[in-house]
Amino acid sequence: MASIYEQIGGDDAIQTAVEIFYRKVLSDDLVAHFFDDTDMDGQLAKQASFLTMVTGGPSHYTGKDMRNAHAPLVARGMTDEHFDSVVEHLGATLAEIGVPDELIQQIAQVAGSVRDDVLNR
Amino acid sequence: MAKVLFRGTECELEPGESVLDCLLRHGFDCVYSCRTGKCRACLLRADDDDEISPASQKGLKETWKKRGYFMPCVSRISGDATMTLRTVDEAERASVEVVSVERLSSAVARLRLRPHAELKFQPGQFVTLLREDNVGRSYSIASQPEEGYLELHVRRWPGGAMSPWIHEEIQPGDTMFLRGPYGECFYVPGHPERPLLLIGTGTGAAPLWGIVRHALDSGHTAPIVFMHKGHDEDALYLHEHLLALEEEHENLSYLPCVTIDGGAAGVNFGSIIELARNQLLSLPEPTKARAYICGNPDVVKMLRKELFLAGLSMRDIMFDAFVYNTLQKRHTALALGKKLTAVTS
Repeated sequence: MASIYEQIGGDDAIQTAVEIFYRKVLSDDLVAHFFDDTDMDGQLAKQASFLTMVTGGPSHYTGKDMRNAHAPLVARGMTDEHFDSVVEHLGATLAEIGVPDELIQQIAQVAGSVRDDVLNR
Repeated sequence: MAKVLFRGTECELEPGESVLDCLLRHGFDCVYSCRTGKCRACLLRADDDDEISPASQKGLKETWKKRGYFMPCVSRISGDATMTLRTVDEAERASVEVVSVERLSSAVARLRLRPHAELKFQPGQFVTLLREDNVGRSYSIASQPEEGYLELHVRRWPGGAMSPWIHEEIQPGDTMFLRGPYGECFYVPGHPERPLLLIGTGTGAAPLWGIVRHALDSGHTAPIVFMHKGHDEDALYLHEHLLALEEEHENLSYLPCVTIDGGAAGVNFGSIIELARNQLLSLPEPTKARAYICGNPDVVKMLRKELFLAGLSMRDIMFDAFVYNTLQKRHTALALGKKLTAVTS
């Protein structure tokens, strides 16, 4: 059974989706400052990795990686509200590239499962 | 302890130190320029068995990667590994003859070089000029291959290692050496219907001068907007050339922009970011555009972000950030006399 990553079109789909997603978060006053980086290429690569992971594509992240990576953001005040907003943008992005609703729900679940790691709880 | 072996000397790396910094610290007279892994001036060659970080080979062509070429300025060695290094083969250098050096403005000179052997390039790529004392600096190619010479636009930096020499000392007939061409910031024919936004600051206009003529010569039909930002009107060193080109081509618009308003007619004043964004959004189909951004790294970053947010894909934004090295003097001092007790940064 193909992963959602494969079903939506693999890396090509991710490359398209990541730009849509990045524009959304950069335009959201609530979360933009967490994504606003001088290294845009690095940020896009991270977002592509995240999207690949939540859609079941090849990924090597551990829970500890997620914790470490987001610890500085938690220190800067990242909360559930921010997390929820980002998951919403993820859903909207997937809808925009034509991913069916049932798959979006599954992906949102996967994203939700890393909440505690991301928020360092 | 990580080490490099170079010219018979074993050099230990300090924690977090780049290979280049280590070699400079040991007094080696290495060529380098941008120190950020872009300009390729510092290229060295590692042994076949050495582990080379991907970051230090980023952007190099496959044949070079296989030969172990890498950029020591962004190369760090993990653990206790040793790298055995050599300079790149002389065969990678091309010799050129100086055709002319002419002032285009008070600060910018046009250098034309004729390669002794045919050199293939795309207008907009860059080459690294090498001087015999191992100073190397990168310059973008502003000419077309059919013209038979490489044209570089060199801004004179007071106290600079290379630009005063180019402006004041070299003569037609002199031989110079260079490596390259490098870079991905060039025109690719095939989509004459896609609007082009060319945005340059200072001598960022040089690659764009190559790119715009390449596009027009290839029969590009969609609107082309050439925006040049300079400090003041003297900095708009291609002003007359661009006005003339604009006259000849209906689809070309030239928009000069300055920081210091000198009152000249037809010159915009203020933020190039705003100007570029407005130009993009006033196109009939903004997301079909391709952008080329060259010059000041901070402006390049800001423009990439602005145009991306306005809807352009990052893949449709080509850029070349001109990184200037300001540490050359400090490192030369370190290399010449480790006895120096005070180093001001």
